[in-house]
Amino acid sequence: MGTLIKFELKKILSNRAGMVSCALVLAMLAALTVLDYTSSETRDFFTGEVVHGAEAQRSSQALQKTHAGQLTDERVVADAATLDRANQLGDQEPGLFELDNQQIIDTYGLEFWQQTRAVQEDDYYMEVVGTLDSASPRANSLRDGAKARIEGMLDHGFWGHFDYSDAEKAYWRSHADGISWPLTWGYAQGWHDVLQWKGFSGLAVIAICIALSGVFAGEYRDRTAAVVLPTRQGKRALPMAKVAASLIFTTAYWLLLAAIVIGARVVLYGADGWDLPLQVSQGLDVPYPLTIGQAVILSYALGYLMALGMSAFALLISSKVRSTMPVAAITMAFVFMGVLGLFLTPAAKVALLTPFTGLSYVYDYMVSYTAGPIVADLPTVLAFLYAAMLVALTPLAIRAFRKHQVA
Amino acid sequence: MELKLDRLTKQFGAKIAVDRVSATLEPGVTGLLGANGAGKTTLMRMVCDVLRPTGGQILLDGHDAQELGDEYRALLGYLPQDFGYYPDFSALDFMCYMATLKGFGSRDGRARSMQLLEEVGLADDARRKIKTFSGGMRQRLGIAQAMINDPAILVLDEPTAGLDPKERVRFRNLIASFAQDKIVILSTHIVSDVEFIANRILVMRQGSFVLDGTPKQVVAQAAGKVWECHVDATRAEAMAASMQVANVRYATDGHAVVRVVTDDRPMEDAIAVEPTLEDLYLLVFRDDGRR
Repeated sequence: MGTLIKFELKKILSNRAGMVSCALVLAMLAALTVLDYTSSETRDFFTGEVVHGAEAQRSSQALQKTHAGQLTDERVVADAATLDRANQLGDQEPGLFELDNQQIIDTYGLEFWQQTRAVQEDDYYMEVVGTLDSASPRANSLRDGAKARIEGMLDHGFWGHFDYSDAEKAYWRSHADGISWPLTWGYAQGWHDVLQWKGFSGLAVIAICIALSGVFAGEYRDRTAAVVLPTRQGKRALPMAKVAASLIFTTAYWLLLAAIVIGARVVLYGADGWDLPLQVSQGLDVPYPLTIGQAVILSYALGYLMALGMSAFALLISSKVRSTMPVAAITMAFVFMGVLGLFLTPAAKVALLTPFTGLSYVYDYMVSYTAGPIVADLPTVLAFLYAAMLVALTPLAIRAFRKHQVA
Repeated sequence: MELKLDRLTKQFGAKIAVDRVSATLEPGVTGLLGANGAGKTTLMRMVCDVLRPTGGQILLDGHDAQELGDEYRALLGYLPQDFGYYPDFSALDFMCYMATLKGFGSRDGRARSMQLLEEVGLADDARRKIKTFSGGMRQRLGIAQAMINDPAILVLDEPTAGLDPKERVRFRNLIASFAQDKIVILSTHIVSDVEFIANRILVMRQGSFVLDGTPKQVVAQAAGKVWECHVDATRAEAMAASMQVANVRYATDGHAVVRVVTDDRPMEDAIAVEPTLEDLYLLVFRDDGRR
């Protein structure tokens, strides 16, 4: 079996279109990471100068570190006061609203800018004080503010279209109750970017499916099925070796992808912040009681499961057709229809079950599905769906190959 | 060992490709002759269990081949008509892969692969990628893979296509020595291949066996139906257009010797001659080309 798997892997690696697709996706994701880094621009809080690339990253890191620490009730009340003071100072200067950052520094000096516009535009204040302001009157603790923010979203419905049932509301409230307060804030830019770009890993699924398109269909197309099927192992061990080799390929490629995507971010931005709460990275309205590191691991583990499920789907199509083209076309259509489906609001929840969009939304939004009294969130549904695809479709692919008729 | 084809039938939609074919095959070379579309390839695919019959069954020593499954396939060696290969595999890789599929361990498979490559004259090219091979080399590789498991039933569909005369002779000798105690089914358009090595000939036409016997018995069916006529060149051309002409040979005096296959004496001074298998082929399939 081991020898057969080795040969089947060799065949997969000989699929030029598949290998080019896989390499392109890896190169694209690596390039996006580097471009994202080199093209970043910010105004340094301490000097007021506009800085780019690595310096911009260091400047953001330095500012974020000034906010690091536990977000106790006293701390967030003081932060709210800082933002209020920035707003008051701004209101006292007529026409300040119309000036850009550089003009404010030139006109009023660096210290004034640091006390006004720099505070108003700081993501930290927007997120923390904005969350406190979700309650009316303003909450005195971040926990109450976050609770009010989540309640507001539950009342509004997902995308303003899908109302949450009472069971769903209870589900999300119980999730949010699991968050440990007070939160600890800190710098986690690298991990934040990993989570922001996780949906793009869905492109890897397409590349994998193209690479696997010829596993069965290639044997029909190249007329080798007539040679390999009438052998002792042709209808028993061979199709199983093909499936095993495909899943090994998917696993290796996914590990490589994760190593490149995560490794590049960690190298460029540092590994700080993996143990911080997910809310620091994805927003205080996220009810998942996870650390950033746990969310990254779960996202990529889920992506891996989806890649395996889609591999099984590709293998099934491959076992049924005599050309590799439909395998690539159908799996690509499946992924891209999911992206297009997001633009059709009533279909959005179905579209979120596809790899690209699904991975983009996991652990960021309160997306849930109900079946009778059962409520499940998007990651759970995706895990079950793609695990079911893996378990159900691979035996069908094996069966189709065994029953293939050389005509 | 005995391989019995029992009313074997294959229907594709309304077209019957193989029509209730029955025969009992025993060790030795069985040549399968037939025109394009006669059903030979379909029959061979069914024998090799890559095409399910619509009706009938294949019995190996009385046991249904379908039920024997892996056990039956383990006895097979098959060279299909359009031999498919993996272009990026080397010849040795391909042979080792086939050896694995046929149940060999890595070391034994490699040794057997090298032995077969040697026998078909590809040992020096064992590490070359198959995509760089000529048609004849690929065909020799196909023959080697079919024989790697020393099969009890060897099915060869057009095995000499693409081989030059020297390679064909080499192949015939290989098969002849191999077929001592094995069932070999050999389909070919090259009548001489069958004529030299077959113990038995099955002639297939429109999905059915129309002749069955030793080469001598089969050829005897054409006795009294093969004629040589000495005519001038103009007449020879006219005969070629209206009769089943096996051969035209021009003599030094400008006259032609025309070999005609026909039931009746084609002309007054036509001479009956000994038929060959090729004459028999032309006799059986004389109407097929005109349809």
